[in-house]
Amino acid sequence: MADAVHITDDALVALIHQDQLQAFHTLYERYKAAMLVFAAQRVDKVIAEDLVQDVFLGIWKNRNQLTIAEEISGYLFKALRSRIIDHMSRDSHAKKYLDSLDAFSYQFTSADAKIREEHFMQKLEELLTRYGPQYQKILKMRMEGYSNQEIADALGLSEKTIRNQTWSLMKFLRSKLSNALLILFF
Amino acid sequence: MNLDKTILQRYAQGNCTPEEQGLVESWFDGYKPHEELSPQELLSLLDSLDKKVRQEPKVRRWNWKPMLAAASILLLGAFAFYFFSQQQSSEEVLNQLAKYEAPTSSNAILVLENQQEYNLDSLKQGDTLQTTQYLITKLPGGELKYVLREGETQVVYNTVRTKQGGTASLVLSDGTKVWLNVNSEITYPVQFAADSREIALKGEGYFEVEQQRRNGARVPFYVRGEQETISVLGTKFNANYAKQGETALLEGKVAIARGSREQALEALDFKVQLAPNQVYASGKLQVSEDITQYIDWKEGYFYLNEQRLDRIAEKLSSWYGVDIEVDPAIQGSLLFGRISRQKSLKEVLEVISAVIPMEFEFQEEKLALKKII
Repeated sequence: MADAVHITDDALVALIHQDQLQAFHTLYERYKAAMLVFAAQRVDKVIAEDLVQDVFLGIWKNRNQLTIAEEISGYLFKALRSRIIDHMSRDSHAKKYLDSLDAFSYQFTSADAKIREEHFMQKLEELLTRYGPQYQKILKMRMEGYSNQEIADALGLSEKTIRNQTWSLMKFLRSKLSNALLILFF
Repeated sequence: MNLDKTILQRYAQGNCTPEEQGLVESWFDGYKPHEELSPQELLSLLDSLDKKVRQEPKVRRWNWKPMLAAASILLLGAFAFYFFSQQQSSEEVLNQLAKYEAPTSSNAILVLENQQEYNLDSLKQGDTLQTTQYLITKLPGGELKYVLREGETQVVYNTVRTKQGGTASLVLSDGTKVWLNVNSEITYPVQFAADSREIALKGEGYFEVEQQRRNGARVPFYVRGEQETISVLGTKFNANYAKQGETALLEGKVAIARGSREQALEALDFKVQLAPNQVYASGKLQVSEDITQYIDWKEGYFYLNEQRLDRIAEKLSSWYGVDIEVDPAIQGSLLFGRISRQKSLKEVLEVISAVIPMEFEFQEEKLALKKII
């Protein structure tokens, strides 16, 4: 089910308002990996999974009252951030988080809200670029034996993009899997 | 602490001052105590998350294993050239290894009851050996098939023996199929006794035992190893006596008894029972997540998932017929995916070294895999 036509985030949100489950799933596919990675850097991965689930199910449950004034990406990650912090405040390790926050507060000089927002969105872009749906699609097509050019054509991307994506993926795998290495030959 | 302890709680409730909000968010941005998820972790979490978020029955999910497999192809493509161009000396060693091609012959012999030996490679497809009692035909797939002549009842034994790089397969007179791995040997009666079937195994074999009934009762099938006997009732399993003994059950049911091969069957206690996907090795019964890993040799590939480099090196050694020594520093490196047994040793090592950086030394027909210092 390749996305022949790219639907913008805004259009997806509008469709979700109209109870379109498919649109909700598309949105989920678009952000799930990046959100999991984002959450799992800060809390235990099992908790991370629960929190990402909460965010998405919350969106679907409240789809009719939902008013999203900003980009959905920002909205999703802020909702996730809020749930993570909520979890931290109730967690048995709450003191650990407070101590870290306290230590941080001594060197903290207040930053302008707008700058912080820009910084936050910029970090999101990085995450989304790496863990976007392409990450999975390219893998899948490679598995099915397609060449870079064929994948590029099917996904409407340039061949160079595929190569770059492949490269950054491999760099990532290499850096992460020093002891668990991947080999395959047909 | 100069902080109000409720700050996180109040943040979550939206009751912070703008200053506190700025503090919490700035802290949160940089607070990443955990390592980034590995691809396996990420994909397995996604799999589980998909089930919860997308609750329709026919949702297509990503299975991380094939994805890892796919990722591994990607790894190969781009790294191969880069690494090989950097490793001149190891490259030269690899060239010396060019002679270790994948075995193309079965390197196995058949020994008849009169001790006459036949090289299985010299038999062509469709060739038939005829004795007074039976015919042996080499089928198109290469396996040997026994056909009995009418009226013969005398029990005689034949043996098939494989050497390094050799495998063999045969269909016994009861219809049971046997695949024999390298350096292995099976001795079997050309015609089985009426009420019990018994064969002897050294090394490693995979069996698909044909069910047989006599007067309504099942005729048992016994695989006798040096120290262990397997009792079988129509089933698929792999028995490996190359080392301590390792039995993997794919289908059906088998029971195992310890005891030397010379002991009478009646004296054996078949107290260990295996269910499908279970493996009995070194006195322990375990469930295998992927039972097919035990018959990779029969399917024509090396199974690498979560296998240690030293174990793979052993398999390469007996397949390509070369001694391989692995540097202790990389013995425990784990692998994923699979490699075809049709590749030459050089090709296999190129692939492995593309992802586990290593150097090769080849002296006096002995290959050493060394960690790059």
